[in-house]
Amino acid sequence: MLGSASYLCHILVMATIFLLIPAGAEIFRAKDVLYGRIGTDITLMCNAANDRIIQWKVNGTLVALTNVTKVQHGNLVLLVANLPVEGNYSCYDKTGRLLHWIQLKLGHPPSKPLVHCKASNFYRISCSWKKNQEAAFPTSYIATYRAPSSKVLNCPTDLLNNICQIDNPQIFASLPYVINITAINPVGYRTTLLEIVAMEIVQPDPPANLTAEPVFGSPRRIKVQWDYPPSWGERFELKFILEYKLQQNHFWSRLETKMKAEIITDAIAAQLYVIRVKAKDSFDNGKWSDWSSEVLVMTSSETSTESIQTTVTTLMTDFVHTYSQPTEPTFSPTSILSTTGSDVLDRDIVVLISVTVSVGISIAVATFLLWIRRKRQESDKNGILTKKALPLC
Amino acid sequence: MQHLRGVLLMCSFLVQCQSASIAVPTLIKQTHDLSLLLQSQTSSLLRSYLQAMGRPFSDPDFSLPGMQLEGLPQASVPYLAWRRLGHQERLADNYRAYSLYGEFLQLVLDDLQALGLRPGPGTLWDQLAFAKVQTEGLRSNAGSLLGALRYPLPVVGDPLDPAAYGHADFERKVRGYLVCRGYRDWINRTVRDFQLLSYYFPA
Repeated sequence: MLGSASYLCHILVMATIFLLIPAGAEIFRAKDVLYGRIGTDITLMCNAANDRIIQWKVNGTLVALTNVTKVQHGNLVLLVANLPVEGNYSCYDKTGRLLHWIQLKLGHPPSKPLVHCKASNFYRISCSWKKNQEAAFPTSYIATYRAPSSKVLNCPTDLLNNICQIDNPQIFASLPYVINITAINPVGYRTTLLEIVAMEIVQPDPPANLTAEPVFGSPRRIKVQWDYPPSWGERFELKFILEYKLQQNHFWSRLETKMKAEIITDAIAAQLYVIRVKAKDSFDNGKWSDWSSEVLVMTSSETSTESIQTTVTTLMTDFVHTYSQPTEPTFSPTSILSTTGSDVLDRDIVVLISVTVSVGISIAVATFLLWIRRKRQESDKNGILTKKALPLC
Repeated sequence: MQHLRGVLLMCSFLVQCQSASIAVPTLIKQTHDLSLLLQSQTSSLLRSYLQAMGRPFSDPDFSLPGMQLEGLPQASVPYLAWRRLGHQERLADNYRAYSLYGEFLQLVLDDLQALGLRPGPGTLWDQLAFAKVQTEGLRSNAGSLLGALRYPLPVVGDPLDPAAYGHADFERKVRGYLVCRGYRDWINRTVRDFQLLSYYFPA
């Protein structure tokens, strides 16, 4: 009894093991991933002998065979694949045994990398590119460049930051550098080529440490200072453009210089000014830097003799405005007033009237005097026999 | 234009005569100014040359990457190596370069005559002849500076042998292009060489 029971047990165990092991082996095998390009024909291989009858399932359900979905020699062929056909595919033989398991992912080749090169000085060129954001597929990049000597070199790439650096570039070369950035993903690749000439793309960083101070005692002057940007080498000279304006104005005044300091001499006293500076290689190679950050400065108020004259002028102006009448002939306001503003028109009318009236009165007075003189002359003539003529002035 | 050239020729001649008595800073500044003037002309010289040679030289974007003329001095240099040159080396490089460019420019002038281009005012031949005279001035100035600073004059190899160079029309044209291009690059370099030297020897 025991012998037959244990014998049966043995057989059962063996049978189970025999049946389960192949299936178990399938379960422990690593899953295959197949990357396919959208819009192309994709063949999923079953890795089985051709004479077997194969069944395909996607995500557990039987694959519907249509004119775009066929089984050829046991392999599943998907014509003009598009996104809905993505999924986990598995193939079985006629007994239902799992033969192979594939995950199908679909996507597009990478887009053309956008490459941008810059150089803050003459001894390092940095090229960077944007990582492909929407990529469902892992995308890697190959960066190389061809030097003017025609040698092709790998960029020392900083793959995390997508930067290719060319140190110590050739200068005075006949030919440009050509940067080659190639984006690769499992379904394709795209290349961007960029030509650069070190001397032409150089763009200094903006000038550093910009400061501006009013000059005490000279309210029309501002002292401005700045430094070379730290990224620029010492021996290539920079030239600068300094711009300044009243804070409320729109238009900038401009000064060109090769020095690191300048004095503005035509500012207006007690006003707020905005100042900025930009730099370029002094031989005009490359481009102007961006503007430095702006600096605000208030010019000093008037305390010098310059300012006393201005004060007197202001006082006289006020006086004329308050007390002048249109018939008052003795003031000539134009010689005193120097302000700008909306009362120019009024003042002109006042002046015109005053002048006209003074001239009119002068003529009237002169005529009156002449009339009196004539009258006296006549009366003298009448009395010339009886009286002695008195000389009239 | 002719008048200006005459003046320049006089100047460079005078400079050569008086080189012993001219101070180093002054000579450096003069050479710098001369190179700046030449720099303003080298691009148009190259363009005139390409136009005169016809197609494919006159095609836009024509270039011969990777092609070099044996023995022609190349200006191309890595930034740091250039930056670290000592005065002697810097001047010696200029001396050697312009010694050779004088000869190569003469070769191109001979080639142009063989190609049928005649001398005449305003012609390409004239522009190249002017460039050749100026290279002699640059070479002479570099030599004077080396002497004034007590450096030995570099030894320049034997003069070019015209027979060693091919006679086919196309070969001549390619040669001329490479010489004009190399001359342009060397003048660009000389401008900066002498700007650098003027920092060390301020006038």
